[in-house]
Amino acid sequence: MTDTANPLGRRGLIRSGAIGGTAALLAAGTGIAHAAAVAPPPVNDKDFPDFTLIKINSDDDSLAKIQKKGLVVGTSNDWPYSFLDPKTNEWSGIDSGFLTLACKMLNIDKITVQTVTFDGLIPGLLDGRFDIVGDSIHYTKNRSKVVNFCFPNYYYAEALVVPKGNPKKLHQLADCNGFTVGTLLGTNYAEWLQGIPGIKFQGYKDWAQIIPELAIGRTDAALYDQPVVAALMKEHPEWQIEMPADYEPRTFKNPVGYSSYAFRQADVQWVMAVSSAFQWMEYNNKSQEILTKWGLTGYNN
Amino acid sequence: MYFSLDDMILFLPSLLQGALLTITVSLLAFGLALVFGLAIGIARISRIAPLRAVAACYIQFIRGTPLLLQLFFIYYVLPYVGIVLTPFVSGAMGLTLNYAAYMAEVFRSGIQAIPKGQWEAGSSVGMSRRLLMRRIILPQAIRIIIPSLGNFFVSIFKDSALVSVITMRDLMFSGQLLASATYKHFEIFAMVAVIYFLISYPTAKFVEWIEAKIDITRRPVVIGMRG
Repeated sequence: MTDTANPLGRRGLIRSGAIGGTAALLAAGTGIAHAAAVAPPPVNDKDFPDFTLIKINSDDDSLAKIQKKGLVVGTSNDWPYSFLDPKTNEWSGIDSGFLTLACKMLNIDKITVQTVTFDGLIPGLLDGRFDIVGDSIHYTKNRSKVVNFCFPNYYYAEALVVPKGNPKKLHQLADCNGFTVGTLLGTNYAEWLQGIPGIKFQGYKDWAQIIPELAIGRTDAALYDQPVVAALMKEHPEWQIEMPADYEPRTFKNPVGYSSYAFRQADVQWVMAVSSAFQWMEYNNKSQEILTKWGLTGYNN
Repeated sequence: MYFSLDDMILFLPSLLQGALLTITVSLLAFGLALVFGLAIGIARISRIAPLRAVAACYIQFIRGTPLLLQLFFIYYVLPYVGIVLTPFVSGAMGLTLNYAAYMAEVFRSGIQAIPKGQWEAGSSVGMSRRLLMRRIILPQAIRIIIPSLGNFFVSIFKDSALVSVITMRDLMFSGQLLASATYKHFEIFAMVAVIYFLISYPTAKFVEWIEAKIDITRRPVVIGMRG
């Protein structure tokens, strides 16, 4: 008797076992693939009965994890978007308004805030120090390579800021050839400025450092958020700076110029949930309420 | 995360440019600090009491505040009183003022380590105090303090990284700029670390070579006690 003659010989047994096992694995594999589009974890149906989450075709459970352990938000103490109120030491601002409401909708009870410098936000997110960059952040080419963005929720443009009287006659970025232009490190403005040949880029760790630099002429111009500069100039009429009124924002009314939040690329369930919550807020006019509270109206949304 | 060699080659020129600035500002500050430090060290043991007091106050004040704060002060606070300095001048000045205070104490200790007999022998042949200091005391004191000065020389290249806070595009700041634009923190800061080491290691070797060259083990002789 040979092995091949007897299908129940040792080798035959192993062979048939292997085939059966592979078949079982395949069956299980397709089974998982079908079961993957599972229902998302429960959200706050009591207060928001008309809000639902979409099913995703993945086994990512990032939202369920955050619901369990609480949300850690990264901010750079960035008024008026995302900052710690010096009076109450509570997280406040536009982004706090949006994300606190989103957390309420998504059944996330605990929010912890971590403050880092602006250029430390994306590295901190990627290192897992927090679950979201909860500080107004825009889509850029370089950022999109490492993080994911959710549904954007409000718009504001940048302004060119120059010393009072505009001694260098700078009105557009095109006029800045050969001049020093400063901005905050890690911002989309820093990314633009570094990409324009002829402009001497000056990066700062803190936005507040730039104003005196302009006034004393160490920097010829600065690029920063128009609403922030406008509000600060109203508060500090003694500052020797101005915004050329004819400056044309680079992403004026371009959807990519809308403010968003950054997520780890792997956290699919989490980013989809926040996007759904923001869409619900826009549809139900909740976004407008938050923006109006912070003085942003009109083209800001 | 993957480690990209192409990116590293792309980052190298701007990091090397930063490294050049780090070396320039460190060498300049060290040279100036040697001169100021010696002057302050001598003032500290001067026979003129107010000069002694001023030198002591300066040393205590500089040693009692962080270098980071001193740099911020020079760059961001002095403009309020009308003194506007470029990042390079501010950085070099901050490092110089800081290192001068520490070096002054080293010079003083070196000078005071020279046995009194040397002073007495000098004045007995009619040397003035100034001549004595130049011809007899300092040459021997310097031999004693070379290892301490060497220590400062090695550390100034790394302390100069603090000038990145006043927007000076040194090696550290070049790295931060690249990292904030490309998010390749791992590659960039690994390269920055290697470049700092490549600067520091030859510096340490140079200090060793100087120590061997001038034979620091040869010490002044205490007259009347040893042959």
